[in-house]
Amino acid sequence: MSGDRIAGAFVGLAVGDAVGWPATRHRSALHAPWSRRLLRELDTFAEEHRVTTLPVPFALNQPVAPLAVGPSDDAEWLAWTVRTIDRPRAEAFGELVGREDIRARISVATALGSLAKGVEPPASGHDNPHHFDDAAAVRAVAFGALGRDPAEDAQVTNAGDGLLGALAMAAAVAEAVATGSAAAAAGAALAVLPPDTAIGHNARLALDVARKAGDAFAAVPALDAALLDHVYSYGVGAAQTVPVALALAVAAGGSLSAAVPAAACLAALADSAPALTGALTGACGGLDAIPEGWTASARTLAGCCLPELAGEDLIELLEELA
Amino acid sequence: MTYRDRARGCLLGLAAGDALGAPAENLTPPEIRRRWGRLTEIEGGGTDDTEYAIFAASLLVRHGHALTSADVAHAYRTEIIPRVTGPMRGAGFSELGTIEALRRGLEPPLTGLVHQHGWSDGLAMRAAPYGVFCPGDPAEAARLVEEDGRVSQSGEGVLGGRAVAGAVAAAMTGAAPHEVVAAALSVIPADSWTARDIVRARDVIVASDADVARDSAFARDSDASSDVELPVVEALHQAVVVEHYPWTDVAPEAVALALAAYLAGGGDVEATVTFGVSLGRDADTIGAIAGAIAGAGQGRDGVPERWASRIGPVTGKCLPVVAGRHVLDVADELAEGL
Repeated sequence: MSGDRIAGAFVGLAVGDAVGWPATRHRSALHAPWSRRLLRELDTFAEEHRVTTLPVPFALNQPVAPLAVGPSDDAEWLAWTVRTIDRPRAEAFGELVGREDIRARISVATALGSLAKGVEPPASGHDNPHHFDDAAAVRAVAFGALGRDPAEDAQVTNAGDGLLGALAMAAAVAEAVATGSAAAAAGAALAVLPPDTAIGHNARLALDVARKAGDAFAAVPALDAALLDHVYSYGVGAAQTVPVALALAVAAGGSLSAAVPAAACLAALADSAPALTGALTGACGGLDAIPEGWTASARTLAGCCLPELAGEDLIELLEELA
Repeated sequence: MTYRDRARGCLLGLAAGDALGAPAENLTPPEIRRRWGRLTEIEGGGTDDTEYAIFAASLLVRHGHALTSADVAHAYRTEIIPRVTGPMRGAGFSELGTIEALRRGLEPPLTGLVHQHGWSDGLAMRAAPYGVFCPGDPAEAARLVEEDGRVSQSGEGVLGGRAVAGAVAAAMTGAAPHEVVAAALSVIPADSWTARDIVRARDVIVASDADVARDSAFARDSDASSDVELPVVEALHQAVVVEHYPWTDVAPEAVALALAAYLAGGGDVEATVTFGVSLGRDADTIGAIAGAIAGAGQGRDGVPERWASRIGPVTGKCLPVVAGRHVLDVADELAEGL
């Protein structure tokens, strides 16, 4: 069963990565740049003409496949982590320095810039305006599922809440793989999240409001009110996305089909909260509990962030690892 | 020179730097040169930097060395939040994030932790009064500013405030610029982003010709000044600017650039401030910090009269509670009893 749960964590993350509205935007990076420029012009048109027909990514003289439901940034960075997991982390990231064909969160882009200037971890993750984002938390799914320590990896790109988010996700996923219990997974995460940090405070608050709401979908407005100040566009802050994933996984009793769609309803967090939620609940229920159609749609990577991963099959990658 | 004179120089320098830098905010150094050559004349009023500094000074006048984070949070709740009924004009993300956290019932330090703009230069921009209040005692200035900072900032944002308060406290004794920068470094951990950026920026200035800003500030030929300055400006950006980030109000960067400008200007107010705002980025805050430190060192008469004459009472456009206050009156209140 634990092998099934390990695969469930990886595919669950890819499913969650695929459900949010930002996935199509990430995947449209495979199109020619002018295609996205036209999208921005349509957005301006909608603003100027006061029309509520909001533009979504489209394909003009471009292949349509990237716009189908499928995984995007988080699944690719997870796969990259699996591929390089036996390597010293600063060395693995060092090979990405200077590459102009990859896309990554601001924390990762900044860390790569620092590595290029000779700034080593942990300063590369600490001297970083987005040290608190969940880039390392996403990668920590691999470390947690495989029973490894995510800290060395996390410190390359993150610090503070970003580092704690990685420790919490690894602990939660490891517990979910071992026991299948979302409640136990959340407990393992809380054990590494000090209550006087933003992420520790938010995790306890999120679990509390979600429990009171009754189920995952019912918890959406309460989580929005409790965790999101909507002051700025921080869609991937670990202090929000990791607590939401923990709370929704528990509120859904570990059910991916209940938790992941609820996470996608939090529009501001729809980029990565569904992915983290999918990883946790995927680990709880195992690969067999993920709807077949979703596994089929999410297992093949697009290469929208790391072009060399285009066409890579997540499940085959895991089988190679085993 | 009296503390009162230095307090006046500090807050006048802060207001002048804020006003001078305002039109250059977020412009690149080449664009600034294209528009103004050397930006030396104040065009309009100051911004949030001056008004928040006045608000911080009012807290110090009321509570003195007993000031706590709870006092500061109480002041936000009673004097700032009730007047924010619609848009919060001039507020950076850290200010509005703090307001939202307070409205949600959180207390410091969580109010500064939950909004994730903890590293902004919102504390550094208003830290100078704490240094004025603690002349010759950078450690106490840093301790006090942290009480304020824990309400709205965290991590490096608090350290940026500590560094500026410590620098001003040292400058209030007439210390030489390199001693002032050493005082800033003495009140923050060496293993911090802020310290690393300050050291990197200082190294750039040390490696360049001495008084680069001072020499070019008085050069009439702006092309000649560009020739001297350009490589230094580029090296400073290379040393501390975060490349893949869309905002410029990162405290470690703004504080390091302001201290670098202060070193480059040899402590002279005009040379320091004009070089500081020529760096672009968060130019008004860089100008405000650099002007405050240099002004504390040079006193009231160190601030060019043509700048001083442009500084009137603040309008309260960012913080209505301070509308009508003049930095010189605030400086006198702070200096009373020193």
